[in-house]
Amino acid sequence: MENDFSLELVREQIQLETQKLRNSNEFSVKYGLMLSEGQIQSLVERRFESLRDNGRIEFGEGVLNKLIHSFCDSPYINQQNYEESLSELQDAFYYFKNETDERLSDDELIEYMKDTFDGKAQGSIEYLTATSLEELRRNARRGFIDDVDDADTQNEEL
Amino acid sequence: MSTNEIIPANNKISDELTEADKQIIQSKLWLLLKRRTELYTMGDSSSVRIETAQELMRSIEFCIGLYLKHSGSSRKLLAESELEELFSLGQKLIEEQLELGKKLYSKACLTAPEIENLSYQDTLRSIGGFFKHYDYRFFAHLIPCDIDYQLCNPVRESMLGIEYLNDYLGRIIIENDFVRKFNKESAESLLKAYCSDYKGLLINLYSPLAANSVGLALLDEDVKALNITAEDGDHLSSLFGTLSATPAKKALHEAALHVCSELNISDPSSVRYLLKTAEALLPRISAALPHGNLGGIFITF
Repeated sequence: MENDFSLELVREQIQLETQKLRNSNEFSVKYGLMLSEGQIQSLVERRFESLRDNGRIEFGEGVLNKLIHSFCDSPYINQQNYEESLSELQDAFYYFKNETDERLSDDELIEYMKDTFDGKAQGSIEYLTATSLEELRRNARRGFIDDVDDADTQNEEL
Repeated sequence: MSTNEIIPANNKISDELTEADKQIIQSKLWLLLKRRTELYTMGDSSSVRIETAQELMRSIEFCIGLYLKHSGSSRKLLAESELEELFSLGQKLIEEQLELGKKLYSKACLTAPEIENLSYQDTLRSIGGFFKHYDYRFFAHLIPCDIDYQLCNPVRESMLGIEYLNDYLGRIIIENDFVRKFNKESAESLLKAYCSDYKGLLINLYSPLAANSVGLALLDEDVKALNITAEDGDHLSSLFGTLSATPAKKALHEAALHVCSELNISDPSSVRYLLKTAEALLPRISAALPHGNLGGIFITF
């Protein structure tokens, strides 16, 4: 019974997420970015894997729609790497939610990821996850959520 | 993501219910968990760690379970009512229990015996922090303080949150009142004979005093004297040597009542507490009797 119930809930979430991603195409197309039906299904499936891999649970819609709205104007994302980038950003997002000890809201985390992705990381998700957010995590744990880039810039100027 | 991770298969809420009821309750619980999670994250985060969701769910179960217990309602109510409403009623009960808890804590501090014991004092101090740190809105089942001091008759492990704390405090007040009935020097002498480092080690202050006073009552001696001499010990060995289990239990029961009478203990909870303590001596006496020495139970100082 519980498994049936669980499946029903997952099915409901899949439907909601799929519809949100279909709708997001209307927004992202302005930036030359579109997800095919197959890509949408794949990203939605990846969401549940990512949540499980990171030991998290999510109610309602996932974070993909927010990632699309934030990242679709990035100069480093194009139609060729769109699905792959979203998938990796989604993984990175859930990973960093754990790493920042929940001290950043979804919107703050996405904003920082976007700034770093377009700035110091120059479109490298590997750089983003390996360096910049690690720095943020350390600072967030100390209670400082200052803009690390600003501090670095000031150091460089000195 | 599976509800199995947050709704255990042997969920206490789920007994006495039909399969259809269970399915309705599961669905409602999930929606309530979703709502509570949204409130917990204040809408800042769409996801939480599984461990957090599990704790939020345990808190929900505790609040609703508390309401069902206090109202004497059937579990069928879970299928027929809005769980959010039952949860709110449970939260109100917790608020009432919190107020009671503060009064009990104050009484426990005021009645604390003047006998030094590190774990006792640390525990009372730590319980003071409970009222600051208890987040009953989200984690009502947790007990955010360190309770190291071991009671003579411990609180049931199934109790949680404020319910556990109030039960613990109620018991410690009973123990306090009992210990304070005795002369401090006599009590300390007994405790020192029981455990040379009674100030530093995790020992209960009530149980040696209870055992010795019951022993003295069995011998029809002054229960306030507390000391069971070697000769008294021999008499007790002889007495229990002649009694089978049922008369021995009865003798302990009557001796405990006699202690209550001598010490002017009339509160039913305190009387029951001593009766339980006295009856719990029987297996220890039965185990020690073949060796001819009850010195580990009735202490000589």
